[in-house]
Amino acid sequence: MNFETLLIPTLETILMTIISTLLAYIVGVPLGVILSITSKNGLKENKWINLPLGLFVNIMRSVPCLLLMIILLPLTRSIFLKGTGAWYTMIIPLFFASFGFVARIVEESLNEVDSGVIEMARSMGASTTQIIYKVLFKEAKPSLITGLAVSTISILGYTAFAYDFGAGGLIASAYSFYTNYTGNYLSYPNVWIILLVIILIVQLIQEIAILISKKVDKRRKAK
Amino acid sequence: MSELEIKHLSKSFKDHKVLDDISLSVNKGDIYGILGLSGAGKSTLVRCINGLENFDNGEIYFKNQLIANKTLPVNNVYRRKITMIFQSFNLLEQRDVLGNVLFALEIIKAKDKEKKALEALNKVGLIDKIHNYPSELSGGQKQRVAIARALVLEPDILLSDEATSSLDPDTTSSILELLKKLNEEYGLTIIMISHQINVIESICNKVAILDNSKIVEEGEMSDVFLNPKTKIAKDLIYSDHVKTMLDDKKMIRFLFNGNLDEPLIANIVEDCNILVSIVYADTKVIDGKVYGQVVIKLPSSKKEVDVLEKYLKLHKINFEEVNK
Repeated sequence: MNFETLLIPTLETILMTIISTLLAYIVGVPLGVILSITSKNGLKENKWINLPLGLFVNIMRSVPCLLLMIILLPLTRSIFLKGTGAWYTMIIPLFFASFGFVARIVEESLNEVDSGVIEMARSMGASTTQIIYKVLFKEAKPSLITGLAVSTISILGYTAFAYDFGAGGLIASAYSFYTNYTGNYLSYPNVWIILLVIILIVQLIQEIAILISKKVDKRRKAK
Repeated sequence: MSELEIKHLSKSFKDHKVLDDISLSVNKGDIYGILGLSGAGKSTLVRCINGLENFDNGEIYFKNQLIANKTLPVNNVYRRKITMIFQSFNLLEQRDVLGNVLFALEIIKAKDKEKKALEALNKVGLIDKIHNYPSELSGGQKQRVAIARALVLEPDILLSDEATSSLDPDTTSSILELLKKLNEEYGLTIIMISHQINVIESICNKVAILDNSKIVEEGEMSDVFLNPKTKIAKDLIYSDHVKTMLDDKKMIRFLFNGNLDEPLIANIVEDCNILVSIVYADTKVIDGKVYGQVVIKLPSSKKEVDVLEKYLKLHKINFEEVNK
């Protein structure tokens, strides 16, 4: 195994993860906000929005990832002119498989904001938009950052399905090594190096998120 | 002129009536206490005044102008003339002291934000803490930040919803002192919601007692406190402690509302030559004046009682007999 045969699948995995996470957040954050503020005793309580939206998000989350990907093949094909065979074809199914999860993670973070603070902002006549940007996002920032790490790591896990679509990435690379050296594939370093790279990526995401989250959090700052 | 007037306000949550025909009138410069046990409807009332809650009937007038009825909740213009402080302070934990005060000004897109915020922080004595975060402040300091944040909107009325209830007694006194100062120096009208009798007693000039969704007594502080008529008012004013100690002997109760600067009990002993025993006392000194109440047990001889009553009337000291 040379540097290049490791680097390319690593980059594929990282790109799939980052771009899908980004898209999942573009859709998941507004959904999370709507879920949070329309919930019972929320800023804009509305069960006619909350219940259907919550149901939709739950359905998206309960469809097995691989099944969702199969169903989405025509959509992927219509966008990229092919449904399988390249790392970027994974972006669409990964995005669909994860935005519901992201919406719930964001909702959780926003629900942690003290209702008294929201009441205070309302008592001053703050608009809903002002409360979302100046109170909810700002007060939930540390939790939103650690939530981003949880989402990214879970999407990274989904990238394993890229193997099933010939879309590359680290896990596919490990599997193809297995098919070539079935009898004694574990006695070569290749699979172990791939495992190490994945552990490193996950650790890096987690630790950086914790570091930034602590840095921005003013609640436990010692004097 | 009445600063805030509430007429026949009622509100129900489903079948349960939380506010029942509430009427009260607050004048400019008043520190108006609303006293009641928890569940009496105090918080709902204050939330109606600020527009956080709608109500089913009645009207609210601000400077004789209708600002809310059942179809029209208090709008943002008036919310900023009637600002609020809370029991749990409700500070933004991710903003420093200055940032918390600036928040109020950002909401209204004010000019000269920083200058106004610093002025407000100066009024509450926190100018040396502007870059500290709430987690680095004591409870009293947090409430001062909240007061500054409420003041920076230049309100006519400050609504205090149990603002001292989570503070220790010393800190409570210092916050009450600050509110009193703001009332005296800037003519700020204050509405104090509290279940703590000593809080209401120490700074309010008027009081309404709320029980079971209704106002049961209302008026000048000294009138209501020296002559409570309803059972709930008596219960609130004489603590349980006194009730259990009442026996067949006569007792009288004095209310100190800052107007007495002589040692009353010592004078009674000295001038009338009567030995009285103190059954209950709850007084504190604010700004060198005594606030609170003392209940004394009267001597048993009829003659001595007459002497004492004459003495008290002569010195124009407010007192009342404590009945079971």
